[in-house]
Amino acid sequence: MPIEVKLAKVSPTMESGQIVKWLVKVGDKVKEGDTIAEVQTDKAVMPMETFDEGTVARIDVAEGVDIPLGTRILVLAKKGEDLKQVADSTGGAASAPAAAPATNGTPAAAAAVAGAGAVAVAAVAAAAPASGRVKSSPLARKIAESAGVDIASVPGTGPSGRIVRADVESYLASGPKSAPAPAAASKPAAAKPAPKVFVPLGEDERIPLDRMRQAIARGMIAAKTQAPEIHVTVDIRMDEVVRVRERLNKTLGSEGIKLSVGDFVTKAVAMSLRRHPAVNATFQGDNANLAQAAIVRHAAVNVGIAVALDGGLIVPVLRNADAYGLRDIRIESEKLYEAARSGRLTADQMSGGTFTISNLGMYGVKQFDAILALPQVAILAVAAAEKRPIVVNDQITVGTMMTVTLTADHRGVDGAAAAEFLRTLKNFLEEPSSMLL
Amino acid sequence: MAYDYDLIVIGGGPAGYAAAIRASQLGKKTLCVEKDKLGGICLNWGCIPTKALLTNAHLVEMINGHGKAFGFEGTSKWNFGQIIARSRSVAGNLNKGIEGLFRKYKVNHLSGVAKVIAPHKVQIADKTVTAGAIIVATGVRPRPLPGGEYDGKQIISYKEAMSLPTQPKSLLVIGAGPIGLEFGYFYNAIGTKVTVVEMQDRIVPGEDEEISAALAASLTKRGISILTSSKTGKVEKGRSGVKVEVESPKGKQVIEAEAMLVAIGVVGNVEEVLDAKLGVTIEKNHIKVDREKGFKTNVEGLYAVGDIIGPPWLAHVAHHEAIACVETLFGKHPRTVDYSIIPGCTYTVPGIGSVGLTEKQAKEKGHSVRIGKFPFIASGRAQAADETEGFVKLVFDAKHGELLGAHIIGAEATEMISELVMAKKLEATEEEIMHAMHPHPTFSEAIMEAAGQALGESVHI
Repeated sequence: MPIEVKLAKVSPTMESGQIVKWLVKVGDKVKEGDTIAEVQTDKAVMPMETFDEGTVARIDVAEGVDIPLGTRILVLAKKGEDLKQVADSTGGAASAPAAAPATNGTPAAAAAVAGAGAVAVAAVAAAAPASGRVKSSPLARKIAESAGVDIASVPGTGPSGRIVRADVESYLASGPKSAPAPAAASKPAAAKPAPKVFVPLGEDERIPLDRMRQAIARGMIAAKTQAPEIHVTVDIRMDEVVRVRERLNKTLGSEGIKLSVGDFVTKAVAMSLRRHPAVNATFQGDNANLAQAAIVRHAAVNVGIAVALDGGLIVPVLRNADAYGLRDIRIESEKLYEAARSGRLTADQMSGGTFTISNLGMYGVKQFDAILALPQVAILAVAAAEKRPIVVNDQITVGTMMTVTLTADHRGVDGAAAAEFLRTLKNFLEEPSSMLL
Repeated sequence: MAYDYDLIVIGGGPAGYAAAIRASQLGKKTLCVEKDKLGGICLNWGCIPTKALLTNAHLVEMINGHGKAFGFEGTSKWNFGQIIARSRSVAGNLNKGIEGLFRKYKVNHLSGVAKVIAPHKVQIADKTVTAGAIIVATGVRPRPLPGGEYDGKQIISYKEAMSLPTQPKSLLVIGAGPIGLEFGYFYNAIGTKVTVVEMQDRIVPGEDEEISAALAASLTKRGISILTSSKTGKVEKGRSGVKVEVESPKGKQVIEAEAMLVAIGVVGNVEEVLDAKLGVTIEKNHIKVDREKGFKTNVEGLYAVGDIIGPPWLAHVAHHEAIACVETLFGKHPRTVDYSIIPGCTYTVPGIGSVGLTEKQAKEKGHSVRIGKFPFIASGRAQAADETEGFVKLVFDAKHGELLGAHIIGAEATEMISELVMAKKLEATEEEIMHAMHPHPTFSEAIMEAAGQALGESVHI
């Protein structure tokens, strides 16, 4: 009897995965413990090993396709069995890769999100020994587990690299110490006085890429090399948002809640995504095999909001963002920022994004382009809301303006679709009460 | 400039001899200077000879206290002189062992008084020798009682207490730390009337409060009279002994005893070994070092380890400090000593073994704690041995089940604690302790049961 190899659980929380790379081909002999593929899980690219011995007779699943756990991915012929015969006889039962449902939408999305915390985990986990055993203390494992951190991503300092409590604690404490609040009031920061020293002090510093930086670099390179992108920019008049925000904050003041301009943007984006499913999508597949590729329009609107960290950034995900009112958007976002800054985001909070917002408004930037968080097909770059001279009814007047730029993966989204999405967004923000409709 | 030695170690106790041997093992030319016998207080006048005495006391107690139940008949007799002689011979054997180790590892050994006179420079008698690094490990000596200075006969320290020519009929012990209580237990077991006076509100004040209470009850039951929250006043010496005024919560009283053992702490041996001109920073009679940076003093090339750098004044701590210092110094591993995992033992019967935080300390540090406790009365092995006093108490952090502290009082407590030191070192949590199979029947099973009790899963209680 030939052996059917199924997609195994290589990370504790995964429900589906993607074969990023096959490391075997039909005809290859494998034995127990051989790594046969790299699997993209919800949080990492992990090696997948086989527990059986045989010759690869058939590969069922193409690289880059999202498949649920347990899907047959490969058939091994045992010693003495004819490869072709095995391949033919097992052909019918194989679940066709293209038909594999992307069950919950975006399990693989976060892993490729450029700069997402999940990627930081991914890079490390990929480096973990293929044996799967991570040398770590019981206490370290428990602390990591309750903080939602993959223990394999923590560098160990104990004997032979054993991960001990102090390692997990310093891992949790590092990075998120001085994160600027992304959606905080977008008041431009006052420029610091320039230092008066003109000769360099000390020496050049060489900083090796830590895992988060490696992950960011990898994600950015992937986006820039795989996805042909377009940028579409609009200016949005924010006076109405400013007014509504002021009024609402007076009411919410007693609850200690203060809405930010960013919260209005999140709300409007979520509602616009609901109306433009083409933008709330992921591109699943490989440029070399477009016949197998697909665009998955997601049922849920899960908005990732990039949070800058000391030495990196992370993208916590506000799930079902379109279902929230402004007040809850504020509360939930605050929870996510807090978790991000303290390094306590759970894997769930870092995965499943269907769209990303990157807001540099608080730095006073006028406009910028964001790089795609693959496989998401679009990302919105939000600049500062600032007073500018504008023309209204052929008169020059002063308006609070905000420039946003949508970067879209042209493989999945055309210019017109991007522009339509932005028009909806612009309408929502220029007349916030229309979001009530 | 070339030095005579890579390393000079001053002091040949548990810190000094370990430092010297380890440095020699690492290929360094090493000299160890000791003014007395190798092995220091621990081996000659502390840990080891007292354990010989305490084993003896336990033997007496087993025969006298439990003999009848075990079927012994008649009366037992013992010879105090032989008890002391055996204890001294144990110390003598071990002392020769260190000399042997020095020969094996080619450590140069000089007998004499050494003084650091300048950075890298040590004077021994009329000779001056130089070294790249100097480690001071001269230890401590007993702290005298103000108004009751040691005379070696009536007012004595541990050193005299373990080598008295005759057994005193009565003994007053000042200080209820491990040293005071061990001698109290020893002398009480062989028939001396013992009174212990402690300034703090409980005996073994460094231990968990429940442990203090349990030991106080056990020792009182054995006939030791214990006065806590009590201070000594005027000390009067007479022909037949001392009369000491003691102020306790019950009022003032005068206690008479043939001898008074003062065990109220120690002071560092800093004066003789350091030239004042060096300007070594001394704090409360101890040399100040940077424990995180290889036990450096403020003087270049000068290091200090062991009791001389301050509490907890334990031989095993001294040993680990010495190894960490030498390995950091000679580039093997820059090591530090983990002061959060220091086991402490008291060798009375029942004895105490403990490591980590007490329940109170854990709570003060903000931990939400989960306690697992198992009494030896429920242990089959303890019943078989007729030694059912005491319990195992484990303090866990409620969040992750981290072992914060372990406190054992019982016949085998001092042997049992090491398992929990290892558990702490390897960061085991209550589940690992509970699911690590312990052999049956043993005293040690109580540890597993205590962990199970914390988890609410102990089958035996």
